[in-house]
Amino acid sequence: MSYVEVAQVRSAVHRLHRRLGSARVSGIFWLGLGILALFGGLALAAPWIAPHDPRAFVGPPLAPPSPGHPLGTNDVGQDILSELIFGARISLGVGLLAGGLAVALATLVGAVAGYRGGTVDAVLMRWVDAMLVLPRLPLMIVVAAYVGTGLPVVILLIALLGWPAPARVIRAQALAIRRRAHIQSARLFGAGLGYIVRRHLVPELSPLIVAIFVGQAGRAVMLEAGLAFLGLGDPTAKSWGLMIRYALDSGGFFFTHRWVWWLLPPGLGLTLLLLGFALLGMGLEPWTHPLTRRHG
Amino acid sequence: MTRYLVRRLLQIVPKLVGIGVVSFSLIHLAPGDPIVALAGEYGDAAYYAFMRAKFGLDRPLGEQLLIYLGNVLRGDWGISYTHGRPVAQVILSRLPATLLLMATALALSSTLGVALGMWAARRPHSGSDLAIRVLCLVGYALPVFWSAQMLILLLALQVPLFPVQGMTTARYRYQGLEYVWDVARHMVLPVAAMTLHQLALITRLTRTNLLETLAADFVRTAYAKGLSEWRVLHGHALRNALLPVITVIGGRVGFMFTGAVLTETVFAWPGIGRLLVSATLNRDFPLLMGLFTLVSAAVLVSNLVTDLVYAWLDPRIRYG
Repeated sequence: MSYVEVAQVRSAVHRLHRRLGSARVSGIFWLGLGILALFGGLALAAPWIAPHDPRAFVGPPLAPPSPGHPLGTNDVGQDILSELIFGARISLGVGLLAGGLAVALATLVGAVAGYRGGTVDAVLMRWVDAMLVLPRLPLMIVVAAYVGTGLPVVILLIALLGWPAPARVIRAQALAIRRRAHIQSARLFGAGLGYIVRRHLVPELSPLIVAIFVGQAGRAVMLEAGLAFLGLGDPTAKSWGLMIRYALDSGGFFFTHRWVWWLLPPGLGLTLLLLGFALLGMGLEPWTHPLTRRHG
Repeated sequence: MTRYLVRRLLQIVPKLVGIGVVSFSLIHLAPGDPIVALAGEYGDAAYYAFMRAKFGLDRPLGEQLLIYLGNVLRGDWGISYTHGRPVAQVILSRLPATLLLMATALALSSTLGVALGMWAARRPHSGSDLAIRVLCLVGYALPVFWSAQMLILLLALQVPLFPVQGMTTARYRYQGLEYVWDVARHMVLPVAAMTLHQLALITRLTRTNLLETLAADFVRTAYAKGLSEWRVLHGHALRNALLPVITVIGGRVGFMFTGAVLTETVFAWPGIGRLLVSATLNRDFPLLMGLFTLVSAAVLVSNLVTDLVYAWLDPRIRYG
């Protein structure tokens, strides 16, 4: 590396640090990110890690753990460990897609309302208020009853019900950014809307957007699991919530120790995944609350 | 205060109408004949004719909306064919069981949460603070339907301390105090499952807000004029720190109902949460719509009550 390149890298790192503020990126942040990365790796590498095809009937039904099937088999003879590993794809996938969609909608509505102000703001915010009254799970259940629940519908529903609350937060922030002196002067110097959005609004909102995404993704995982557990999700997309449902439906937990290798693992997986999202969200808090950054 | 009250009460009307419009649109957006979406798939011809006339399905769409809103907002949701009774009656008979669960869980999580949050905030970064924060994280991350199931496995099956399911012992018909004791024993596990998540949230919020308030100038002033720690905490800091906590508690009713749906399903608790799930599985649409409207309205009312309490506690809201 030449001297110039080193200097460039240094200044890039410096800029990044400045953007994060003086906040020390805490251990909590790394722990959360580590957990999520672990599950992400598991989901991506599922076909290579999993000992069996999760759909194939590879053993006798309800077999206890053995070297061939470390977590035993389910009631139709599918390998539970493979189901668990492939289940990460669905649980995590729903979280990321629904969370991403929700945050995109929230940013769009929130930023437009906050930056435009006036009638646009008033109309959009009344809409948000109305959406906030609707109870999420009951509405999802009602729509599920009418439309049916393929996985895409579940993802879309979670996103459509998730965006209103964060849209309010983004609106407040956009409103505050608009009033700041450097934006005012940029506008006085003739900066267009596109320039301000690209150069100021999006970069300054980005820490908030990331934090909201993490929160929404965690909620999406939880909601999908709940819906699947109730038997109202996609019956073919075997997420961890659906594994718990099937495990309970098979019964027999009153007399055997089967729950230890069938019910415990998907529940622990879900808990750990949600913990990862929660930790990451907490680790991101210093980015989003300048106040705690100063005190912290 | 009166002006604020009137204004807030008036704001509730368009929202109620909005809820009605949403469920009306759902019925008409659903594929197929709206009578199926309104009355369900398994009704007979007489039942369909009754529902068709009741909701004026042969009229123009605008008129239909008015009839629908009139029916729904009066609580006249038609007849549930799985129960063979008016929907409102079915719901009312199951409502007390859910209210009992939710109210107990809300009261427990609020009092315990504030107490734990205060305890943690008094000595930040101490051992007890750390323990409470870890508890919060775990409580927050546990999916309620799974922790509920684990509670059954551990405290009802492995160590048979509590009953597995239901609200009463079916074998005996207890009376009086014995009945109360029986229900109380059945309540312990479901309430515990529902409380945990909420408790984690309120504890964390109380701790954060209290820490922020304790760093404020007026707290330093209070200490400087020689007040005891107790007086500073209770007379000055707590009042200010708890305001946002109250908003969150009141705003969680919708989420708590979600918890109730899952918990009641796990524990076979005879409340409206389980009713909602069974109505969906039986495609009993009048019942489904009734429950949806009721829960939405409950969320609306609890938000209103929260705002009023907030305004009563904090004059800045009332006159702002």
